[in-house]
Amino acid sequence: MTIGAILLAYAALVGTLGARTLGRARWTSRAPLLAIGTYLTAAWSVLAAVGLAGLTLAVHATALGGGLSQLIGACVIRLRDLYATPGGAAVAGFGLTLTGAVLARTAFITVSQVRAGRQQARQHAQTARMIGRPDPALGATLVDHPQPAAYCVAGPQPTVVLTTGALAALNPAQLDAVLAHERAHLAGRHHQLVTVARIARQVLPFLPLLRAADAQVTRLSELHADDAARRSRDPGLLATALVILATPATPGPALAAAATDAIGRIHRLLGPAEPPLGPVRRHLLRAAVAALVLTPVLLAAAPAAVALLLGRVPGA
Amino acid sequence: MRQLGELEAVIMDRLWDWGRPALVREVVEALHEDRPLAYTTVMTVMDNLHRKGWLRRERDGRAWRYEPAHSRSAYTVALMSDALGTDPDRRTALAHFVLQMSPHDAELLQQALDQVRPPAEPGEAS
Repeated sequence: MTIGAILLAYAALVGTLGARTLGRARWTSRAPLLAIGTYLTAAWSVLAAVGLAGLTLAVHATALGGGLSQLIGACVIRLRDLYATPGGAAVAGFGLTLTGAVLARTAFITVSQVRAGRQQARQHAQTARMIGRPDPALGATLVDHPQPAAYCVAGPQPTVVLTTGALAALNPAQLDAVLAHERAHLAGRHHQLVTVARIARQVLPFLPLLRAADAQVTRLSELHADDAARRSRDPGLLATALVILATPATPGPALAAAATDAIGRIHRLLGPAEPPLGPVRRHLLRAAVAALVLTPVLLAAAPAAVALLLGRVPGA
Repeated sequence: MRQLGELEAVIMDRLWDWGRPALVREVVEALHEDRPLAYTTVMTVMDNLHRKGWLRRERDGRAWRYEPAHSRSAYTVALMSDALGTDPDRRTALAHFVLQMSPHDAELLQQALDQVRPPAEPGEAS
């Protein structure tokens, strides 16, 4: 067994089973922010494991096989067994290609995602400000359109957009709750969290966990914004506003998954209160997140660290 | 910067209301009552709007006549299709309170609300 294979197995395991484990977990809606952190960490842990697996395979055939081995001495033999893979050059080539591909893909997708998102945000906010009118009292830009809609645009000029349809359909208290929800999105920088999840999904789109992370981070950020809004407002206002704003004024585009998520939010807002997670469970979950961060790094570095340590201990 | 952006919106508003090509001088005069602005300021802003594609212009003697490239409603349609569109990849920068649903799904949502909403207090109706 080689470290490279272990890392790939870790990526495959977390990347497939992780989606089901987290999807079934009931605590996610009780601690949305912690759940977002867990999804993002798990997704990027998988990417890191694949990248490091390639590096590990390559390192075996080059540095450790050559000059470095003289420094470390006899222990490298043992070390080699760990990293060892048959067909040195071919494996090293494969490893380098894998790492290079993951790195290049991640870099390219990050740049294009961030650029596209910024451009859309700038363009959308500018158009909204041009055709709409600012309402300083509401802290929102009003756009003349019959469809009730409320959303925020992140970016250099964070903007909350409200249609006249929404203004007519909501009462002032509902409107205030909706605006608090939207401001929570902007204050929590939820668009950045969504972008981080989307980048991971696009790098390795075939892994269920990375697809789940993309969808779940969006859903959980709604729950987090609901929590922020209900802290000082009646949750019933948010629940009734949900129905009003989801109802189409005219037949238009509609998303299949939207209803399930919205019904979940209504139950969460008005159903029996879920107790917040206890401190013990929170700490355990934080430890799990830390483990997701550390596992790929430790796996990749452990043999080398052991070798260096043993190499310096005389007679070891 | 912020003020220039606001001025852009004010000028676009006027031109959309007029619905005809206008000279920079006409815009300066029309805005004068609310806000006295230097001719060059208005000219710069309108030139920027032209460069960004909001205004188109044609020669009229030594000056330019400007008019909006598209109607206000055309921009509204484009904005709303961007905001309410179904492509999630186009919506990274936007966070909706809730997305518009089909009438059937909206009905399901209403039922969910009716089920969990605590019944109204007896005195509430009066």
